[in-house]
Amino acid sequence: MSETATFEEGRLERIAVVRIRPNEDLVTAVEAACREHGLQHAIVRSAVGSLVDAVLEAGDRVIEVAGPGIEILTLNGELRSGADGEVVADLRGTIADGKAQVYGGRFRRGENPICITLELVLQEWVPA
Amino acid sequence: MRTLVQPGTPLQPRRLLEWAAPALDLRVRLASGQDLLSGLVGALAARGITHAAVQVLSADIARMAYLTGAEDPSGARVATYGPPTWLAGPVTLLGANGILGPGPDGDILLHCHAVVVDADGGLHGGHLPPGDCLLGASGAVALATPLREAAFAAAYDSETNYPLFQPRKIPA
Repeated sequence: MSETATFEEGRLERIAVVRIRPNEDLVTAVEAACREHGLQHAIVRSAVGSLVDAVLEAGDRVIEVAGPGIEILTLNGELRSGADGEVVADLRGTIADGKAQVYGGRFRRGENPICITLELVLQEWVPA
Repeated sequence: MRTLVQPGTPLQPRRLLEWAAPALDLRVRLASGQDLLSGLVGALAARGITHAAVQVLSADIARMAYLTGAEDPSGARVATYGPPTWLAGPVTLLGANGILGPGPDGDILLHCHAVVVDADGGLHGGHLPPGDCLLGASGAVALATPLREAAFAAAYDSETNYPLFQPRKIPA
């Protein structure tokens, strides 16, 4: 019988106060920050920042948005470490470009350079 | 991936992280008739909270302004804010993230970006300037996560030529 839901008990523990500097990729930089500080699993609690340009994925669509100065409006998601210990971020959110057009999707790895800053608060998820 | 040449020399490390201690979260309900940002700053300050991560869960807005990014024609920075876009209410907030901490002059700031839908169903979003988001009938609800032992505080950033929130340890 296949399982239709799987659970992981745990609790939210330490809070990481993070800043990413300009020209670093959003997804890989957040993963690197976690790796450097031994943060294995975490969720996004809050984030405010901007991107030079943005590339989002939504289903089979790839949404390319030209900046600079794209505002990250909301950011949600989690970071998980696999059996190999590598931290992988799955980050989704909404952005606005300079013409105030709003877009949403999953941030594509390696294609979302930070413009001025990313202020990010993560909270560690510790499985029981 | 396009990168931009910043006005100042790149600073190290490229990723900064400080550990804050977990604390009880606070659900904050703001009544109508006040400004979203100054209302949250004032309500949290009254509880002794000056450093926090904030998620706005809901808000009804009677009128508001937001800012979006633009190239800086002066060249002093790689990006700046364009002129404000004003929205007449009722505006419905869909989501907003904020960082609360001391600004460059020590006053407490809430750096907040929001996505909203206007009365005609149009989506908007951007940076919320303080004082320009008047709450409507049902007010707002936010979840504040106080930051202890480490938090954000603004300091001049020579790389970008902006005062920016930086992770800092907070003396006990």
